[in-house]
Amino acid sequence: MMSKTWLVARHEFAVTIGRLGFRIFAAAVPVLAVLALIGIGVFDAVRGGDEPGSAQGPTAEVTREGYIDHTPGEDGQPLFASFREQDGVTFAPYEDEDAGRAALEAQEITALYVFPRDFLETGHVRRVRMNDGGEGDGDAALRRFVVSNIAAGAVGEQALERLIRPYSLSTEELPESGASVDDEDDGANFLFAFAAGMLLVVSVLTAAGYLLQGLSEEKENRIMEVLLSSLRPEQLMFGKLLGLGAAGLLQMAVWTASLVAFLLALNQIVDVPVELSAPSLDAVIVALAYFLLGYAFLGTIQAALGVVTTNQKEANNIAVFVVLPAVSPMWFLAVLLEHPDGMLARVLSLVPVTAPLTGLVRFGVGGMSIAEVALSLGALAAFTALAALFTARLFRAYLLVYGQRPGVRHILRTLRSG
Amino acid sequence: MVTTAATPPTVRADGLWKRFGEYTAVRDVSLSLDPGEVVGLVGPNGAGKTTTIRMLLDILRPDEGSISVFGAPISQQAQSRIGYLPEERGLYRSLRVIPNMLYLAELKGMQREHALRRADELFALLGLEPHKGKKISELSRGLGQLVQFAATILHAPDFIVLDEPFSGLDPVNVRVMKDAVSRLRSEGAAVMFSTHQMTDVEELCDRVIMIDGGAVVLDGPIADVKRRFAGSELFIVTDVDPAGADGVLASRRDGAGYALQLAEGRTPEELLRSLLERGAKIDRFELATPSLEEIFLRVVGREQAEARRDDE
Repeated sequence: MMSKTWLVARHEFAVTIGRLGFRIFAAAVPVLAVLALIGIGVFDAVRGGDEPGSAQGPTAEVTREGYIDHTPGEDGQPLFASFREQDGVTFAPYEDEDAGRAALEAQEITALYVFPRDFLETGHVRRVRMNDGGEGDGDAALRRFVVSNIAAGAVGEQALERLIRPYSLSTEELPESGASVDDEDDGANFLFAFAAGMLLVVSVLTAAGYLLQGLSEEKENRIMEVLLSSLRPEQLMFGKLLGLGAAGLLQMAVWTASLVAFLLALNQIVDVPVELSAPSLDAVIVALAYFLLGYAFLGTIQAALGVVTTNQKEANNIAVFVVLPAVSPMWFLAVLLEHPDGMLARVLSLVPVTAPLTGLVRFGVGGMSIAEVALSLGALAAFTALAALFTARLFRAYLLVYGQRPGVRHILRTLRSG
Repeated sequence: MVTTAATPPTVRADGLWKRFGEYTAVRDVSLSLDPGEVVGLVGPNGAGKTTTIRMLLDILRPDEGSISVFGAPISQQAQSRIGYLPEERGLYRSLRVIPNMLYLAELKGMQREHALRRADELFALLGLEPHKGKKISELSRGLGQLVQFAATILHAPDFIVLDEPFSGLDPVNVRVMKDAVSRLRSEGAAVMFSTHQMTDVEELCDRVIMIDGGAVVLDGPIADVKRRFAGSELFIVTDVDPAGADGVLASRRDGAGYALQLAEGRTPEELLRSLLERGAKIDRFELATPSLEEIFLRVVGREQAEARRDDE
C-alpha cells in the first residue's frame, strides 16, 4: 500500500500544478524570456549589428564599408590587401575617392576610409560617411582589419590574435578566511547564487501561499475531518510539504532552464558584458541544499501559521513576519558582498530564517569556507527538524479548530505539552 | 445482533472523557456497536455527539477511557475499515467527482482500479452517473451529499458513521440513501447514525443512544426505550365510556376511541378486566407509547432542568 504521506504529496502536487494560477506563474518566465529574445533580436537587426564587438549570427546582415589604400607596402604592394572580412564587416577597396564617395552616396557602403601614403608613420585614417551619422563606426572591425594587414606575415596566428586582443584579466585573491577565490568563476557563481536565492524566495512564497490556501479550504469545507479519519496529522503535514515543495521545485526548474536558455540564446545574438561560464559543481550542490532546507524550514513555519489561523487572509497577514526576515539578507546585500566573512554575515548564516539567502550569497562570492557551509546547513537542518516537531503538535491540536484563533498562551502550552 | 466471543463488538468505548480547557465536552461515555447494527446517536446541540464521534474515529484522543475497534485499539489499519460522512460536505469543491472519490479511497488503502470499478457501481446505485464528470462546486447540495455518501462507503467499510446524512436531500434521494444503509446493515456493517430527526432514528435504527451534557442519558433498543417511557397512558376503542371505570384517573375522547390516564398503582390488566366485567365490547386496547421525539424532549428537558437547578 502506498504510504499515505506519499499519497497526500501526490495529490497536493497534482492539484497545485493543475491550478491555472500556478501554470501562468510558472510559464511567465519562459514567455518573458522568449519575448525578450524576440525584442533584442529585432532591436539588433534594426541597428544593423555592427556595434563594437558584436558577434554576427549566421543570419546577421553583413555591413559593407569601403576604403582607399594609398599606402605602399614593404614590397611596393598596397598594405591593406587581405583580411577584408572582419566581425561582420566587409571592407571593399576602391580605386579612388570619387568612386568611393559614389558608392557611399548610392548606399552601397556605410563608410569610406582613406589610408594616406604616410599612414604607417602617422597612423592617421580619414573616414567619410553620410551626415546622418551612419549606422555605427565599426572601430573594432577596423582595428582588426588594420592590425591583421600590418602584422600578417611578421607574426604567427596566435601572436596576431594577442595583438588584436592583448589579454583577458583574471585575479585570484586570498580572503581572511583562507579560502581560495577564483575571480574567473566569481561572476558566474555570484549570479547563480543570487538567482538561486531569488528563486528560493519566490518559490517558497508561492508554495507557502498554496499551502495556506489548501489548509484554509480544507478547514472551511470540513474536508479536514474526512482526511483525519484516514491519516495522522503528521502524515498530512509532511505530505503537503513534500507535494508543494515538489511543485515549487518544478517551478524553479522551469524558471532556471528558461533563464539558462535565455542567456545562451542571448549570447548568440549579442555580446553579453558579463563573462558567462557554468557555475561550479560546489555552487550547484550548496545552492540545492540551501534551497531544499530553506524551503523545508520556511514551508514548515508557514504550515504552522496556516493551522493556528482561521482563514487565509489572516494567515497571509501573519506570514509577513516570516517572509520579511527571510528576505532581509537582501537589505544587507552591500555589507554581505563587501564583507562576506564578517560578523553580520556569519550570524545571518546561522539564523535559520536568514540562513538560506545569506548562505547562497556568501558562498556565491566565495566568502564562506566549506566548514562554515556545513555548520550553517547543519543548524538549518536542526531547526527544520525542531520546527517540524512543533508544527506537528500544532496540527494535532488545531486542525479541527474552526472560526477561532487560539491564544498565544494556549499555543505555547500546546508546543510544550506535545 | 448478539455479540459472541468470536465476534467482538465493531466498536466499544469505555469511560471516555474529553476536556477542552475548563470545558468538559464528554464525561464518562461508554457505548458499543455490534456488526450489522444501526444505532442512532441523538442529543441536543452541544451535547458532545461530534466529540464522541471524533474520538471513535481517532480524530481526537480521549483524555481518559479506552476505545477498541474491531476488537483491538484503533490503528490505521482499522481506520481503513471505517467510513465517515461528516455533517457538512467534506469534498474539494474545485475537483471533479471522480478525483475526489479516488483520493479519499486511496487514503483508505484502495487500489485505483478497484476504486474506479466500485465507484461505477455506486454511481449506478445512487443515480449519480450523469454527474460523475462534474466539479463538486457544480453540484446541488443534495447531489453533493450523495457523492459524499458514495465516497464514504466506496471502500466497503465495516463501521460507518453518518452525521446528519439526509440533510439537503429531497424525499426521493432520502429513500435511495435509506435503502443503501439497510443494504449495508444486511451486509454486516455497523452503522452509527447521528441526527436530530427522531422519525429517521425510529425508522432505521435498532438502538438509540442519547447524549446530553456530554454524558449518555439513555441507551437501549428502541422498542424497550419506548416501553420504558410508556408510563400509564392507554388508548382504547370501545362502546362503553370508560370514564367511570375503576382505576381511571382521567379520560378524554380521542378520535374513535378514548385516551386514558390510569391512577397510580393501577395496571392496564385491571382496567381491561373491569371493562370486560361491565360487558364492554373492546375493539382496540393498547399502551400509548410515546414517540422518540417525546422521549427526547422529556429526557433532555429533565436533564436541562436538573442542570439549571445544579447551577443555582
